[in-house]
Amino acid sequence: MTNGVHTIVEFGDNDKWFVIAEKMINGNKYSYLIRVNDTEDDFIDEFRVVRSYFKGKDEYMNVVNGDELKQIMPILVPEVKKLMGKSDELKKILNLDIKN
Amino acid sequence: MNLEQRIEKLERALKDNQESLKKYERVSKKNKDDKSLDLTIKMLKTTIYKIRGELSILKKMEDLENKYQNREPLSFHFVDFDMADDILLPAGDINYNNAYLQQRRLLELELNHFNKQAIKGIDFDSSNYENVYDQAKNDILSMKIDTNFKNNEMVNENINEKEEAQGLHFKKDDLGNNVKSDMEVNGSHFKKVQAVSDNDYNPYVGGRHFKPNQSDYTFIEFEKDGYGYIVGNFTSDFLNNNHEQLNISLLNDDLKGVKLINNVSFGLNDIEGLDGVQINVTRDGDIQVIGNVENLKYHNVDNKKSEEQSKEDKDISELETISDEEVSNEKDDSGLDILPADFVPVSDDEVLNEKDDSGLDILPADFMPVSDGNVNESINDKVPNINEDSNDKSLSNGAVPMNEVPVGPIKRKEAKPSLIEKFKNLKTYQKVLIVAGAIAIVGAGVFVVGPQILNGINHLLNPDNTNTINHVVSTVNDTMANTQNAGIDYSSIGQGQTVFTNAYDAANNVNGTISNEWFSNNPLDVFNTATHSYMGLSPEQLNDPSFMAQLAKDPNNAILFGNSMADPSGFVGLDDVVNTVTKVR
Repeated sequence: MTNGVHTIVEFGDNDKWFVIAEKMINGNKYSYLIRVNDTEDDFIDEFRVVRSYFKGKDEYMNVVNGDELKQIMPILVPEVKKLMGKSDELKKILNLDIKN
Repeated sequence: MNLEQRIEKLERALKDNQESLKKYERVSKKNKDDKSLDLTIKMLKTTIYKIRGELSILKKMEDLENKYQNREPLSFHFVDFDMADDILLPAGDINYNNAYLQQRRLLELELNHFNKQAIKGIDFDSSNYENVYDQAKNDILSMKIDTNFKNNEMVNENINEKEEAQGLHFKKDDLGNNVKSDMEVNGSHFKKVQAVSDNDYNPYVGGRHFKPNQSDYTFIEFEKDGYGYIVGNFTSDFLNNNHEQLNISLLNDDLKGVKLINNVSFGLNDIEGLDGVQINVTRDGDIQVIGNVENLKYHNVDNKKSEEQSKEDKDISELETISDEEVSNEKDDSGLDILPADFVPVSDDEVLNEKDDSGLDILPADFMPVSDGNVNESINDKVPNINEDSNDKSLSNGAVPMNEVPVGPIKRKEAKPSLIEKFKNLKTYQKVLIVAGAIAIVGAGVFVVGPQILNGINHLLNPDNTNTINHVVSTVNDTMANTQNAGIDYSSIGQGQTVFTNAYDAANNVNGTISNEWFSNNPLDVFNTATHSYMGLSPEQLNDPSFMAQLAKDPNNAILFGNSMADPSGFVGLDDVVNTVTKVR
């Protein structure tokens, strides 16, 4: 059974991402990725949602954008729904001054 | 009639109906007092969304067949004790055929249900119909699988390695690797087409238009030293057979020959036999010509769109009642596409914009729109610097940044345990940051539809079901109270009520009609006409009286009812609904 959560996906040199979430939605496999550094021991603040497609044994991933992204995001990352529409809270989070 | 023929027939029917609808809508707009066409227009819209609904299911069937033929992984709904999830089974898995059967049966059931055919002998008219349908669906989804196999044991693994590496456009020619020899071509302008690229076979470079794909192409053409060059991900066969549709200008010039450069890879590519010119492929899929060339021209072709556009143009010239001013660029919105979140309704003065302003525009369940060029900034960090001297007027000719960054197959491996620990031990605010990152990707806009609305095979994929295996992003102080005791009784909404075809009419209480027996009183979502967007509410929220009462205070909210987003019934102003349905279960 395929479960790619918590694996590292490599697109190329120094282009590595950690799978936070993965879900089958409408017959397609989507993954939510956060970037990691080249030595794969720390996170970089970049995020990406990809959709997989297959040719035989190989898996390819395309970045998801636009309306498709808006459709699947609430399913892929349910917490997102709760933060939607709460722009103040969101602003606070995104401008977080990391002290704690 | 096989699947392909059926799809073809329906697509033709859809086009015909859409064109008819456009014509009638145009005429109707001109004569606003004349209501005689209203019924025809309404019926056309109904027909259209019936066709689209069936088409979407049929296309899923076709897609399933193709995946099965190509031995690609198939999705399987797996029930294990009290957990349910969708998993992907590779071709060698012992349950691969079961996955195919499950998906196939689900789709057939969907089709029957959609067409209101009898299910297990129970007719559509029967009050038991929906129950039978649900039960049938559950039976299929609970299909047992063979779990008596070792992990990773592959059975019947007989994929032909060569075949799987080839995309549509990269069938190896009889003449050898990458079509190197001269070829006679159809069409008078082609003298010779030969591929000159020596690069190793690299099928997935350069963005979505470089995927072997019959409908979309990005390619460039230029001339140099008396030869024409075409840079694109085609085989020479494809080019020879389709050069007319591709609108290649250089064919009109007097040239010694035409050379096809395919198989370009990321970064700078030299061209054999051509000094001083390189092809650069960026990570976003832009192709650029570096160096001095003549008559450089970019092509960004979306074949489906351009077909429809030219068809529309033809029809426009045939109509006599429409003046030239009103013949404008019409998007194919024939009444039933979900409005994008930033949609702005058309005022009377803006007739030329011809956007369909009915809030009842719904995307079919499997609609996957390709966004138009919003490249995620964070990805766009590896574009090499362009040679300053280059004759690069190309970029102003509309090379559109690609959305996808296909870079060949991904490599997957286990993460270091320390990294996983690090992830798990992220402080709460950091986890929230991750979620906020997700929102930042999407942008501040509201999501288009709520998750329960995405229909199709996997509609059981309930995002609030915390039992799913892949529910990894930790919940951040989930305080959403889930009151099970109170609910809203929507049964009084329905036949005989005043309902509206779009949210704006509903909010303004104009142009209402009396609902008929097909009007479903199942609430789907709330649309706000001030933000022009759906709220993406969950079923719990829609059934929460205090929550909905709050929403109802905003007169701009209209609630959408229907069986699903693919089969909507109509809108009612939310304040009206809440006033009517204050009964609590």
